[in-house]
Amino acid sequence: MPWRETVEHCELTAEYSATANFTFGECLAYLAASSDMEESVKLLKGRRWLLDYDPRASVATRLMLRFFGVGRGRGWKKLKTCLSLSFHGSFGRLY
Amino acid sequence: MLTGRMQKDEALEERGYAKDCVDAVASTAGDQEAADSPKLEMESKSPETYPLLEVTDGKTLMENLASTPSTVLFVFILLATVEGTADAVKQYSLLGSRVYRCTVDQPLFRAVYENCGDLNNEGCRSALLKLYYYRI
Repeated sequence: MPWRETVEHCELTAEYSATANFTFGECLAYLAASSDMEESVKLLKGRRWLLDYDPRASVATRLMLRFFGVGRGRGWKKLKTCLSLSFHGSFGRLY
Repeated sequence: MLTGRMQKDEALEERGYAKDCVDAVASTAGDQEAADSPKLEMESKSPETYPLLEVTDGKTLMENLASTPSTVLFVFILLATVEGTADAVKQYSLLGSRVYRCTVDQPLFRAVYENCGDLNNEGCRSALLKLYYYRI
């Protein structure tokens, strides 16, 4: 499994964390969607810090996992950070 | 207000007292009457939204208008799926498919709109996964 290979060669740098947290999220979503809940929960518990490195990856992945029945979704504090990072500054007329 | 950082008075001070801003703040606070004007405008420009706007509350409407970046829109879609509100999921994804027309996002948002009337069906799960993998 690519994730296991990645872990073996892991070096903890900011650049690594910034990239790996999105990849880790994708891996968790894949496992949850494939009904491998046990492995998904195990990885999430073991490397929660990596997923939490970027609030956008963390929020989207945890909500996705919640949709597939894994975990408890995303805490409101993290969600606010994620939305604040991305919210549009003004109310545009979109339609 | 949408992210829980401000109260109504603070939001008005921040955004000003022009009619649009007052209506937006009041809608977010749950005032249905204030939401009527943007609803009418949206309906006139996009008749497809009519059945969805009929059941939309003021806060969801303002989330719709504020969530221009597709990441925010995607997070709102996921929140709505977790909360089990299929109407909101359809509304956000319809918005996404209109705002991001002529981009790769468009068919992905459109697939969510077309498949997520029932959040438990396989088509909805697949459409959300595709959008997730593209957006993340």
